[in-house]
Amino acid sequence: MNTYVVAWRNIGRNKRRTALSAVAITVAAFGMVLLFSIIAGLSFEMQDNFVRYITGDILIEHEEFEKYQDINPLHFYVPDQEELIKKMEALEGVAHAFPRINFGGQLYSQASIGEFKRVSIFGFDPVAESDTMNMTSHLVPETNSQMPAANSREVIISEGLAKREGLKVGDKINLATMTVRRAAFQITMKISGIAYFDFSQMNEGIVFIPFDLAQYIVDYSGFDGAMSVNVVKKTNVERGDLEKQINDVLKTESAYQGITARAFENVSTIYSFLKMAEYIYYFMGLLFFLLASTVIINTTMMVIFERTREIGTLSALGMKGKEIVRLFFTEALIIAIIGSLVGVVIGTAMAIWLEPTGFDFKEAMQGVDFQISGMMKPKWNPVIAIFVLAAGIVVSSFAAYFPAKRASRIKPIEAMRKDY
Amino acid sequence: MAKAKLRMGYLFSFAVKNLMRYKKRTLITASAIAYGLLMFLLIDGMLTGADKESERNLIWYETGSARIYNKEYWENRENVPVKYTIDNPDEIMKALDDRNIKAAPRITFGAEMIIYEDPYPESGNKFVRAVGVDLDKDSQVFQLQDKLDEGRFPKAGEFEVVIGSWLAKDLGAELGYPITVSTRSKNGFIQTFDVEIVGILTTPNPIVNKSTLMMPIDIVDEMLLMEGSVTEINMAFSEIGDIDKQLAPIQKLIADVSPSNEVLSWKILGADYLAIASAKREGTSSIIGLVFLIALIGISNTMLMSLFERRREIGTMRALGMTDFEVMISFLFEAGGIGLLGGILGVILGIGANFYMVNYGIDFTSLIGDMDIGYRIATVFKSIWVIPSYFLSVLMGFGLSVLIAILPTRKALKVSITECLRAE
Repeated sequence: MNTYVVAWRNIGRNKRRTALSAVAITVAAFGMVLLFSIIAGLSFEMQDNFVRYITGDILIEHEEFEKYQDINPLHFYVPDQEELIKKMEALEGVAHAFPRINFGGQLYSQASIGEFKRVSIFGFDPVAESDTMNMTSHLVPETNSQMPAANSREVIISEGLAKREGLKVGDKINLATMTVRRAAFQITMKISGIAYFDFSQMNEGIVFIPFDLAQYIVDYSGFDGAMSVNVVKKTNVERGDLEKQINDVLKTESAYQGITARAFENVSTIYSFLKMAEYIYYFMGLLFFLLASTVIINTTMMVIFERTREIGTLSALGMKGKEIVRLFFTEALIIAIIGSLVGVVIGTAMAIWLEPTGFDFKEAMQGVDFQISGMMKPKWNPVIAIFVLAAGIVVSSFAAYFPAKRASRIKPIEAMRKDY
Repeated sequence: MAKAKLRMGYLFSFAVKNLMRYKKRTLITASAIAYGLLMFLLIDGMLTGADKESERNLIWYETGSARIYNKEYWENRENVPVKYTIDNPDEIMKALDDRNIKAAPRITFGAEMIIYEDPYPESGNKFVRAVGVDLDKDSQVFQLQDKLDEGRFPKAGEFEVVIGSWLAKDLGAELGYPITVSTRSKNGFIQTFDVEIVGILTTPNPIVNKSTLMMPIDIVDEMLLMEGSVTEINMAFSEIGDIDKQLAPIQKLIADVSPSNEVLSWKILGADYLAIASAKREGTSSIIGLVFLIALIGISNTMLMSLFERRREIGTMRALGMTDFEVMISFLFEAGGIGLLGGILGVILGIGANFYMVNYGIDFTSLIGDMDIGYRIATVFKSIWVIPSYFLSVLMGFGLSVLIAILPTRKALKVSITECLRAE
């Protein structure tokens, strides 16, 4: 007897039962694909934000900088940044490179006497970063914002800061900070624009300053210093390879002693943050996988138990235990494949459909300081689909296999007499 | 339908018999419910545990039970203002003392802390929220005694400071090292002074360990030209009860003694923490939602299946004279029985799992490190027993099962008796 044919017939014979267990598997597979896609989307977005706004693909800075970054170690700088950028951009795998200077300071004015207004200063090169950060696209249009004019004391402030301090375009701000020698330094600057970023970290109290002005403030101009040089790779290059290549270049130049390049993955503070976020995501995924599996296992096992009598009948009619197990296993496998496939397809369609728009999670995320925007955009990839398909099939066919095996061992008389 | 006397007792024993007859099905469904409830109990216990411990650590080391501020202060707190002050602290302290309320004044101010290479490993500067304290009074409000790793608390009138142990580690600071504090006085000019580290503090509250810079209040008063004013008065209530009720008389008192000030409870002071906690609670409710979903699918599947497989039985029952209502009741009893069993099983598993979580907990140190996750706890998550949740679990298992069973049973009863009996 052809097990396969009988299995198909059994599936067709009891349509409702088939539908019931297939639907359970479909729902579970659908949920898994969607959730895993969302998790992958969150993970990707966070990484992308860090690469785009904070580190670049490769971060070149003084080797001691990261260790002391909490205490504003201005004296660990990269000298001759323009020269270095030229060298970097000459490398084959590099798309472009740009310098950064970040430090803290406080705003003060007549009105703020008796207050301590903390801000972060973000020194960047608007031209060099026009492809990655693209400040122009972040300017809030209603505010009449402009990019800072060259060689001026004009700056852009984040929307968060503008709101907090009631500042608008054209206002002047006074900044107090420290130079590389920890001398007090104060400067008045004019706001030329207000910028909004989806990345919460870029939208807090931040003043965006043209790079040469930042150099002037911290007194880096004499040696053309930068706090870091960020390198953006070409798409077909591995970060690890480029990191090695850049470090080889840095080693040959005595001027860049103590300066090292690290791929994004090796910037430990950010990496450990991402790692933890990943753990949380995996945990969420695992939890949901377990939940979905219970639904599948529960339904499939139930189907087999309900059919113990049928197994008894088959056994009485002379079918061997092995054949029975094979029959039931085949049945379960077919249902599992169909159910998982349908679930994966619907889940994939849903994930891809939602990819450009995403869910709005802004409300739920309020007050949570996690570096993702309020929009959750799923990011589907084939690995997710294959994994869920495999998991759905394996879990449900195994859930069928063991009870079927047990049932086949029961004596026909008992199986038929007993209600399980 | 004929009006028959309901034979509840009979229907009940009938349902029990049916449950016993289909032992495996009963057990499988019940265990699906139990698993869901176990998840719920585990996570509920953990989050509540972290919440409660955070609350305690917040009150004991960070906010006190309540705090008096100038009415303008709270809105501007981000700027650590020293211009919105309490100008008659002595008067308020005395009024509180008359009512036997423990209170301590503090001056909190923002400053740039500057350190130099030698003795420190590296030079640098860092923004800090420093605080001037009246140590005698402060130790009555905050649980700071015995929390020093090394050294002693600063003496009044001396340029001395106690810093949090995590901060000390970050700076490479040791006892006797100097810190330069650069800030602005109450009327706006820059003031810079040196203090010497005389003590290093470790509390169970990571925020305190990370940020504390504590010096004598008289020094701060002098340096910032506060002229006797303070930024806040902290209070401790001996028992943790309904804070709003405890607060009412004090609010009234402050309104009388110094109307320019207000009283805020720790719940408002810890608002950032509570916002995170409530977001986490939303997470819990979504887990409960998932539990419902499993239970829903599990139970409805089972009921559908069992009703479907037992059409003949239903037909027989009805042919033998059982009313539709009685059949319905007996099936609901069955569903309720499964739910109850699942609930009890879930609670037993939950107690087992939480026994470990309450006594040992999970150590997240390697995962979290010194990152700020909002909770005011050390990195070992310990659960606590949330008794109402266990009752809720049993109730949920029971109620949900019964609710879900209604629909398919009603559907099955609509089919005519003959058709039921003809079923395969």
